[in-house]
Amino acid sequence: MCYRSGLSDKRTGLVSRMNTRGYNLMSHYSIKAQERISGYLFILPWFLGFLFFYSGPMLFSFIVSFCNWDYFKNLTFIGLDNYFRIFDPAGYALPAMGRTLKFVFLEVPLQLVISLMVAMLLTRRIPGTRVSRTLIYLPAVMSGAVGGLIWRYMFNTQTGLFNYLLSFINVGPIAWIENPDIALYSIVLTGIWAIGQPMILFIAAIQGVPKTYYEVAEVDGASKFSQFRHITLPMITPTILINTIIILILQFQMLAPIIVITSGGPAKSTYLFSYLEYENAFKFLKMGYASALSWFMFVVILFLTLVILKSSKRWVFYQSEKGKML
Amino acid sequence: MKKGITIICLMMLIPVLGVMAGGSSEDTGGEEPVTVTYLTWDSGPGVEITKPIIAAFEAENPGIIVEFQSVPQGYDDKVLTAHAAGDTPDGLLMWNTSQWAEAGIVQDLSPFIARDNFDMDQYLPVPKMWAEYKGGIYGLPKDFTPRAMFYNKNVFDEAGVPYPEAGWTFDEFVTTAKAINNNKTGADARYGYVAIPGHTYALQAFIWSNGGDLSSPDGTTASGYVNSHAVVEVIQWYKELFDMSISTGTMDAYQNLGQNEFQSGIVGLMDNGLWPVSVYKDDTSLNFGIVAPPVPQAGGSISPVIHSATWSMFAKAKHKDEVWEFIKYIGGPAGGRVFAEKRWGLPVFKGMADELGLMDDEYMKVFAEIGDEATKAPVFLRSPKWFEADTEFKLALERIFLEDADIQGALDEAAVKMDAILQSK
Repeated sequence: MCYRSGLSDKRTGLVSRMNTRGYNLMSHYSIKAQERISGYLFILPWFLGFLFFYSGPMLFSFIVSFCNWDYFKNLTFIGLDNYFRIFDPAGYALPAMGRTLKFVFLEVPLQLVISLMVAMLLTRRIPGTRVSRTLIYLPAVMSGAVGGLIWRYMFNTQTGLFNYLLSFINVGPIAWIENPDIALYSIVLTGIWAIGQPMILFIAAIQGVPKTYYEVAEVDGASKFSQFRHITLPMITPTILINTIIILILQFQMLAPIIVITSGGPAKSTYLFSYLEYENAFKFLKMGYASALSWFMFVVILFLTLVILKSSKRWVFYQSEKGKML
Repeated sequence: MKKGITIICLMMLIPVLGVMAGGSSEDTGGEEPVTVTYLTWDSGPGVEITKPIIAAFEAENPGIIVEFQSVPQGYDDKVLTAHAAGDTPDGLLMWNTSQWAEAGIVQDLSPFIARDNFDMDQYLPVPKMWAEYKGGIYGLPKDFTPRAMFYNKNVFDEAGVPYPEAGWTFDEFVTTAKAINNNKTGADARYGYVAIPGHTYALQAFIWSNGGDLSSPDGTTASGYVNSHAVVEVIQWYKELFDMSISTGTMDAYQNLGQNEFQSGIVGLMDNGLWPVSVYKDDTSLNFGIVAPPVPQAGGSISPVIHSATWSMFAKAKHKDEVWEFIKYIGGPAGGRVFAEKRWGLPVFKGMADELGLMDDEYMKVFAEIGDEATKAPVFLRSPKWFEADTEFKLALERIFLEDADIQGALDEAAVKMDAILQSK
């Protein structure tokens, strides 16, 4: 059985179309080389964008992170002082990072599970799936500030939607974002609106699982749960991996909803690392320290991403060129 | 194909040739008009109100065109990034003088003021203080509003509580709020007051009225101020209010100050500037009044805090002389009169409130009278480091109000941290 037949057809089709349009340059190369060139061509726009728009500011912020650059003037080299300050036990950086890790470790599984569940639902042949997909994806194209405002209104203790609904079962009112003990969990809830993007990737992955697997499993008497557990889940592990990494990075950087909903309060209960960076850069004008914080967060994200990638060899199933599962 | 490219190239050349031929200099006698760009956080009606002012200015100054750029969201970020990039508009509305003056973002207008012998004495003292920092003048005052107490007459009538009157005390305020509270939940709940934890801006007026302050006059010391007896007394009083007030602790409260809850009749008292007055006046179902904030003891006086802004110039402005001409106009009596006539804010010019009949307006009159009592500019104008120091004060307040932390202990702890920030290099 050739698991990759569909993909191979598509690839061959792409190459053949390129040839018919006169791009016969590729035909001099082997299929593997063509594949590699195609890959580089696909990432070229992103790479050029990074080179022209991101690399300069990143390099500059790296330099600034070793400087005192308060108030946009008097740039002075201070060595590693900004980085030492991050580890000051009396400072806010380490507690903010601890809070952010807690937030991210809650947010990533929440978004993964819900987006996968919704994707499973929306890949079934039931009416309204197209509309539902659009509606669920809609918050992903909304600005974080607008989304945050809507959540803020829904969280309002007196007039918010959540407490209104809870009042029907005589629960509450709950001080969703006013109680320091639960404010962070309320912010975690807002991540539900970010499931659009992982959901789309899951839908594509689920639809890519060959139907024949399920047919064989049904003949063998496997239940729906068993089919999910032993066919769907292993087959979509590459997508789970990519979604995990994307959600992880995005949640570390999540800022706009925090600014709009709580501004880090009450009593610093939602004071995440991204907000600490923002506050130092744009409220206290401490660009040097803010740059050091950014690079520290970059290292943390990079480390966690590498750990996930390393661990993926144990739980992600890739298929070989010859159709074997690795 | 080649023919098509030739035609496109020729078409692209047309405007270039037109400019080379000097075709657009007809209206200005041969000289290109200068376009002055001005950054504002206002949008909609706030920008509309400036249009007649701009039109009148342009009619008087045919060589200058004024373009407003509206940035209602993320205004401060826009100012900072534009300055850092070195590509700023010419002028800007400014609120945090100390920080932006210290950062070199805004231009000291003193040389322009001296050159044109511009009269700064025509301004009321506290709005004028708003523009000043370390001997420089970084803008012309725009308009201002003090904070006052709004009371919802419907809520007061329902509770059978008499309306508050100027000169009422802190204790009477608490008694009034308590009398309005009906201890119910949901839509039937009524609260006396919207108390916001960590709202330094509102609290500083009560602290000043009680003889205290939040920092030394030079803005370098918090110890002995934020943890003084006068401040502790105010926080104790406010804590009692907070515990019986509508639950607030969110950005909703910080930004709207309970406006919606007040308008919908959930709360009886609200501390605010004059911004919601026009909306409330349009709401025929809302019956409201405005009164001066309470005083600590009977016979005492208030020391109100005001909100204001200035018409300022970017230090990196490309057309400094032209934007100064515009600032002089819109920040002068001609511009100020338009804003005051539209009830956008109180006029910053001496005698203009009387001249325009604002004292005949029952609401504006109260604000103007409270404004007359103002003698101090907000604490953040003393030091650019206040914004960071204030986060420690706010944290202490939130711990006191939300987590019942010991008042003196929390303020002592905050004072030490605030000193370190205010005195840092």
